[in-house]
Amino acid sequence: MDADELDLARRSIENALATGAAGRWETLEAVGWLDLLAAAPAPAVRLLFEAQGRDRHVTPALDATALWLAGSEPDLGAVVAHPCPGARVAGRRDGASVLVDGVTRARPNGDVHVLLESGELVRVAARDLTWHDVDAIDTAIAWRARGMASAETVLEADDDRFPRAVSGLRRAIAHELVGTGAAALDMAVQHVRDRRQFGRPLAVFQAVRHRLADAFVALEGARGTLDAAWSEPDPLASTAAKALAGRAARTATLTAQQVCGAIGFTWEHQLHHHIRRALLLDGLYGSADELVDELGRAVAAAGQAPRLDP
Amino acid sequence: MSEPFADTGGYRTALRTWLREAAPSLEPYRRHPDGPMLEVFRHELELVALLGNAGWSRYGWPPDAGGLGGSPALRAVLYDELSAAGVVLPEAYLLLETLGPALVHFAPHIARRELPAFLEGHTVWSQGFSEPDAGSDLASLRTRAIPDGDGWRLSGQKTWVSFATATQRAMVLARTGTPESRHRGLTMFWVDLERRECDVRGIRAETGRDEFGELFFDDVPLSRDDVIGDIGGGWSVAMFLLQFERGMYAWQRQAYMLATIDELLARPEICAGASYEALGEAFLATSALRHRCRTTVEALARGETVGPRTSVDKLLLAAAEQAVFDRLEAAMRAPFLVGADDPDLAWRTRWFFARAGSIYGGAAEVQRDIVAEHLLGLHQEDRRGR
Repeated sequence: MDADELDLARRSIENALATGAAGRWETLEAVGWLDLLAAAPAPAVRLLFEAQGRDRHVTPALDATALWLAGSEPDLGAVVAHPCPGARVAGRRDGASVLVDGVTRARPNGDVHVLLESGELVRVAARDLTWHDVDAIDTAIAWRARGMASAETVLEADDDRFPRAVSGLRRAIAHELVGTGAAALDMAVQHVRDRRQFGRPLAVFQAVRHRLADAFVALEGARGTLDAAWSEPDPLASTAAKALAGRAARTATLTAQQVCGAIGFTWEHQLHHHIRRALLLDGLYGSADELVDELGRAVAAAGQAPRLDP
Repeated sequence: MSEPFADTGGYRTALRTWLREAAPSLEPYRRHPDGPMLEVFRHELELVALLGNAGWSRYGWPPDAGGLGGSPALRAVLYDELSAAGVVLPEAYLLLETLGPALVHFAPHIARRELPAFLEGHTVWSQGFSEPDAGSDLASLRTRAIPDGDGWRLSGQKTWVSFATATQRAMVLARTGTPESRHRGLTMFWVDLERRECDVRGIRAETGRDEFGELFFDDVPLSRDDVIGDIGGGWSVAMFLLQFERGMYAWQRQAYMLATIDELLARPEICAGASYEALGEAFLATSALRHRCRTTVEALARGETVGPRTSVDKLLLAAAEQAVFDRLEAAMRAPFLVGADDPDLAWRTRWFFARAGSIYGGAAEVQRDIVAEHLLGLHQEDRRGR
């Protein structure tokens, strides 16, 4: 895509997201995000997820992307069960049934999709599972679905499917983490420009400037690795990208917390929503700490540090 | 070996083949020698000469400066592949990459003469910027070039000059304007340190080595041919140079850090002390640096100005240096601290050197100031003299 096409796509997506919650997803479909996903996945995911992170919308984007990564038709209405934080999978085969334990953004009337570690993509009737209305730290996740249920195979088992999907989801989530961290940093920068004490804006104090600079550097470090991860065949690049993004979002949101002082600590202020989103997204598909461990194991097993080359 | 390479892929493939074939001749350069800086440096210059004569290090430099042409990105490939093959990157290349681009850009007549000599391992250059009273505040420097006929006489002192005692030439930033002219009254000169009016002394760093030194100038005669860039344009040359110091220098350091992780992995008795978390953290920090400075190196290769954005690279570099060596130190605690029969005391030297990563080339505090001011747009209200 050339620069003009990318810019048009970005603006269309941002406009669609700015639509009221009820019509947002239909608008995204109408502006052709699904077509963009098929044609240019890296810009499509980056633009949507980063905008979503900035504006903290809750959308079916992750579920649609999961289906597309698995090789299935991305359906904007579909619900996918994601592994609980700390778990590798959201479901396991048990004979003709599947044992499900995952988290979702919504409780569907119809089916919920689960990608198994074997690469099999299954569909389970929502009514066959027990649904817990969880009080998640952030609204991006609303339910936990559990139970043993009969499952319909959508896609057969395939060795590559699960690792490829997980890698892609890590990139998508990383884009959203960068977006939410960047938004928190922007809030902090604006705050220190506006807020005056001792006859000056907070922005002139070096301690404040340096903390903000460190947050910026963390986000830039994450962006570079994330952008490169799209064209790097080694899944370690996506693992590293999500770890960096999780750390950067944490640094940015907590730095913003510090420099925004008392007002930033209020419920009314938007900042805590970014902190919550950053925490939750870090926990999905491998927290930064879990992924660092995974990187270390991979490096040890390889016997040499991988040279990731975009 | 002199056919041009159309792209980095072809160069990389050919280089890898040569690295395998030339393995026996590269054997002496696979270990970190631990000894006085000069001895190590001279040992490494043998490799510089080998690579220059074989042609590999000439790629990416312009033909009219003695190079074999092609994108500067080819040089990045050389440093990456050497490290990946277990060959220790000569420290001389850090100087080449810091000063070479500015020399080629601003003084091609000097580059034509000096670059081949460097690539063949005959002559090494140093960077004379900082002074005892002018470190972070470089614009306050006082080394002066006083007009003398058609030229000047250079007097003053430079300090913290990396590898000073190993070098024969220096790029020196001197004041040609009034004492109060700050960055506007500076000119960059090429100085022959072998002249009797120059004195070079080493400074022992906490690593135990003469990592840097001082240059003393006592009325060194300079002509117009020794000017790099414009008279009074020294600050622009310095700013141009700093981009490369953060771009390709950082790239070499990331290659070196990945090689350091490799070394740790190759020593199971030491690696046993390294947790997966430690290895992962070291690799993660180096990855962040690698991708960032690859982007910078590519931008510079396209002739773009990257400017204040390179402050991000510098901060990521310092973070990666310290992440790798702190994790290493934790993994090999006993031999690191009290190992008398450990043949690799070089680890200790290298750990100490990593401390300097947030100090040299513009201290981390200065980099953060640049990020805040130029990248976050937090302009200072009172700009006392700046």
